[in-house]
Amino acid sequence: MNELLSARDSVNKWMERYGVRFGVYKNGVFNEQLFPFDAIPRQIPANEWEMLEKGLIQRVKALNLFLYDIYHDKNIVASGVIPKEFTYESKGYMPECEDITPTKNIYAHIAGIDLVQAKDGRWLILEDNLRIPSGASYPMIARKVTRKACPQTFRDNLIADNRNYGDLLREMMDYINDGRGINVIFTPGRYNSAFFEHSYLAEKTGSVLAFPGEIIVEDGITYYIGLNQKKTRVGAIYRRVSDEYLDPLAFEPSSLLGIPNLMESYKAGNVGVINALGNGVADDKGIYYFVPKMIKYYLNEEPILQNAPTYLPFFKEDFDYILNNIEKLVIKDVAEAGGYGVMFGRDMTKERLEEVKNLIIKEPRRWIAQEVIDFIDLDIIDETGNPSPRKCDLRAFVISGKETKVWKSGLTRFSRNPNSFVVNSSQGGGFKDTWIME
Amino acid sequence: MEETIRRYTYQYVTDTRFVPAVGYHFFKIRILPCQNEFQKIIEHHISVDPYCKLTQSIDGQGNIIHYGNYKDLHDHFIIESSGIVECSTYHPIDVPKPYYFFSTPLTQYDEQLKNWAKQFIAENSIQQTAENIMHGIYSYLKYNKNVTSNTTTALDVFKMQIGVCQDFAHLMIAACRSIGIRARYVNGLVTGEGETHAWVEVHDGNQWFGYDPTRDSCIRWDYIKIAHGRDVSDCPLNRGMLFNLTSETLNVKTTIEMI
Repeated sequence: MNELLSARDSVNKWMERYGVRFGVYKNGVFNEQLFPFDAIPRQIPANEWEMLEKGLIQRVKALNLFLYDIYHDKNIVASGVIPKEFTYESKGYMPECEDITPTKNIYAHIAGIDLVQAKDGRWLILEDNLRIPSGASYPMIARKVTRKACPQTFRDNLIADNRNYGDLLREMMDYINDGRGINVIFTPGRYNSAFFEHSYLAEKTGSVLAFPGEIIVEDGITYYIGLNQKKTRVGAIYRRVSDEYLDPLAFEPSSLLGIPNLMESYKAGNVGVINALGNGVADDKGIYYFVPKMIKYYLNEEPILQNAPTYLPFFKEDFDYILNNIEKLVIKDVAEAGGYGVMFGRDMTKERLEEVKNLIIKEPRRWIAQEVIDFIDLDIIDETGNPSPRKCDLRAFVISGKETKVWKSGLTRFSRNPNSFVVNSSQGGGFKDTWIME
Repeated sequence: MEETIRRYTYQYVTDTRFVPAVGYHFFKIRILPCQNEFQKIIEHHISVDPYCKLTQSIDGQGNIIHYGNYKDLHDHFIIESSGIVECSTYHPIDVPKPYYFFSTPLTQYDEQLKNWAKQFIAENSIQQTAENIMHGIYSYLKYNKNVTSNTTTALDVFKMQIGVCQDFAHLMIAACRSIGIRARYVNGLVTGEGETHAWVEVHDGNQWFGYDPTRDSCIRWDYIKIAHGRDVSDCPLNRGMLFNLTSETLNVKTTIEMI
């Protein structure tokens, strides 16, 4: 461990050389910044991981069943477990996906589940990301670089090898592809915040990295247009373009990033789209509240992992609680992600608190409130070269193909400032490697 | 009124010209009258010029669509859909999807619109309420072709008091949904010569009823339905994607006659 820390200069040099970057749009300007890496890994003991693994698989299975149900029979709404306002009014719900059954009936092929560990040791789920969860490439490359800088560390410690993420993805993509054509990673292009990751994953999965304009749909079949206009049939697309921009003829007509009529190929069952369209209805911050109920409803099991204590102003009792306790809660806009639309009651002035209360009164469906969780600090080496505690979360990656598997690693993100609770990389934080101990 | 069957011939032509000519061009169109319990296609013919293969499919709302694409340069794109339909009185009975209760970006309502809609509520009759709203919108809005666009919302229309059939329909949908009534947007053709039209269907718990707020009429005959959706963005008649910079002129002509 100490040798790893002493090697951190060379580690950071390697990282820079690999171009581990994260793009951020601020005030309309695109800036690419290095994603700061901290050499002290997060370590998760084997027994703890075993529980996490079970809990994550259970959660993702329930979410997949929910997505199928919502776009087909809608039993969970009919039985009153989830109010209809939380599904059909959600921004992520897409009527175009009604009655479409994706290849092999899988919706959330790649799920990024964010967790935190409370000071008492319990792991709590913060949010589910079922659309295009990003970030897996960072721990992949961090591991590669740290192994290179101090191979001994990885010989002396029993650390689960995480170099199989590309294989896990590949295996899932092949299963979805089902021999229909080539595998493609579809990127919006060079100016996307995660372009580095798109190209890295294409290499690791042996997929073609395709740009807008290189994929077309003809008579229900999806093709990649390669050199000399050669058409090659596509069997699975791991797309890194969000739903609303993916097919300009079905959704946002002004999108130039998309694949016109991809929806038709998808609907006809001629191409697998990873992740499926319409998943936003299941990772909405409002639906989050209901995931433990989904687990009971679909799997008839007790949830292994708990949510952070959450209140929905939609329900009268919760509404009153929120208005009376707003100064100790964190308020989140259900439609936002990436650390945007998050407000801590304790940081707000009296006037601002009143404003927020009015927002909640006006649109109760739009907000959720959570208790501020006192989650654990992990040390990082700060600019002065000394250990300094930071709030950290963990994004675990769950891959659903023939089986549902959890990648034995994850992205541990830390907040930029010692007193901040916001760890999103778009807000300037950094990351650590995550070691699952064996 | 006694139940009879009426037959109509229809012809629906969209003629798009591009200056300069375009190469890659992808499109998705809704041009075929729908087939349901009150409307049956007796014969139909669809042609595109320049020729390209049309693929037929069904969208998320159950509407028939056709799509295709061009690679080679072309300066025009003409679709002609014609045929004969047989209609009984307008009464869709498909089971409504739950989302027709909820607003969409184009049909959002606010407290003010909701309060305005409340004055039209008729005790125990969704049909009567919908009819009252239709009359209300007909007298509240002025028809004007030059002000609104494809992105104009129901609330914009409510404020400006002006619009075309699409805007009349969106405002009526928003008003209905604001007081808990299921409503949806319909695209189609009406008798006579002119352009395509838009109207509204309202569900009363048993079946759908058609209302045309632009013409202030409860629909029974003379309307040929093509597609429906939560608002126009679910069922645009004609949507294309081009990769070239060009200027486009679109001409639409419809002729519907009872035979």
